[in-house]
Amino acid sequence: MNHYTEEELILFYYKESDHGAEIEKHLAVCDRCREVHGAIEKDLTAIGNLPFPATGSDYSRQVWEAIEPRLDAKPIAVPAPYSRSWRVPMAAAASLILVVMSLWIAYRTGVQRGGETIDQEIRRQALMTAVSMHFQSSERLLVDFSNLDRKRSIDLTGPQKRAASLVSTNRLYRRTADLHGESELSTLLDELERVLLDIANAPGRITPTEFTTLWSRVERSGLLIKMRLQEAGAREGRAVSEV
Amino acid sequence: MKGNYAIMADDMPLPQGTTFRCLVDENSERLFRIAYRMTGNRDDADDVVQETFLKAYRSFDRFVPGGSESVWLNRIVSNCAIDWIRRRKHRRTEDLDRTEEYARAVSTEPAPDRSLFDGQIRARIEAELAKLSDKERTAFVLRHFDGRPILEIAETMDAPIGSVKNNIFRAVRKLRAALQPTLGGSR
Repeated sequence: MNHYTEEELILFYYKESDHGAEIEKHLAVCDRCREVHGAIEKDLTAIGNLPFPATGSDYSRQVWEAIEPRLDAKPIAVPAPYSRSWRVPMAAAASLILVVMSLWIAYRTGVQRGGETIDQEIRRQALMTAVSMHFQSSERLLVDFSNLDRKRSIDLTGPQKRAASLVSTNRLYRRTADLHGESELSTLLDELERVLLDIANAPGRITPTEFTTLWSRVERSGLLIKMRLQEAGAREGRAVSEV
Repeated sequence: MKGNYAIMADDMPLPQGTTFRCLVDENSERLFRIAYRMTGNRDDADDVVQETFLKAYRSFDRFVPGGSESVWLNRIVSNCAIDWIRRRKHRRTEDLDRTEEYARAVSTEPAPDRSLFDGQIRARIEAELAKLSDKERTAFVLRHFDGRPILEIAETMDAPIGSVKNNIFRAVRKLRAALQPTLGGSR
């Protein structure tokens, strides 16, 4: 019978082994490995039980009070979201151009119709059309996300980059919706933004259980259905609440 | 809990510093535990935590919300702790003898008294932690006391996964060897 090394059993203790299920089965039948594993577990548990000095419930306040006078006077820079990637500003700029173009076309249509300024309904339609495209991209991300292999630990780095990129665009549309009094659309975009941030801010690699928890939040929100209804409404020229 | 700093910073008219305050509120105790295990001293740990947040503040605009704040903060706190230990060694040369003091204070024979027995284990582990190399201590503390996955520790330490694993294995081996006279685990 082959035995597991101390190193493999240490990884197993930390739940970091790629052969966790095999080791578990092996430990059930191998006295020698079970003994080594038991000793590792005993020692590491003793180390883990080392006490920490009590910090008190207001420790973070104490830390803040200690550092606040030493913080620079300059205003805190708002974290530039995803500024390390040029793709995001490009995507945001492209979205902005799309909105502006849509509004310009709508304006020209309004002018041709009656020589008046942009009609509220046409402006709304232009926004809905632009947002529909954004929803389609978001849906593709969520569908791809739901289809990730859940058998072992899941690498989220790809979906996270896409989610981070969509967050910037989403903010732009949400603000535009707010500006034009489209409260239902703004609420829907807000819900989408939270989901996108959940994905973007998740650890790069998660367990199937963590994935299920994350995905169940998305499912409970009914976001996919709401976005599809909004797209259908945009095609038919209705508001989200009417859909 | 992960904080959506981007939302807070972007969408709310926050007073200056409020966003960063959230980061401090959410991470102070966790960083204290890491700093304490790295330095082995309460006062030093407090100083390291403050230094960590000051450094984090100065580079806050470089924090990417889509990234992991634990990687970002753990990298700063572990580097701060290592710097602090090195400075302390220069400042107070007697601290070089700290591990020896521990060793002298600890009898190799298990004592019948439970609290003394626990105290011996604690002293042995802390003394051995102090003897670990910077990389061994950082990898072990982040894995064992902060529960970080090895993949994330590799990112934090900017090191290959295999190297992080080896540092953890070496640390565990040394710590277990130090415990052997007291706990008598099989090797």
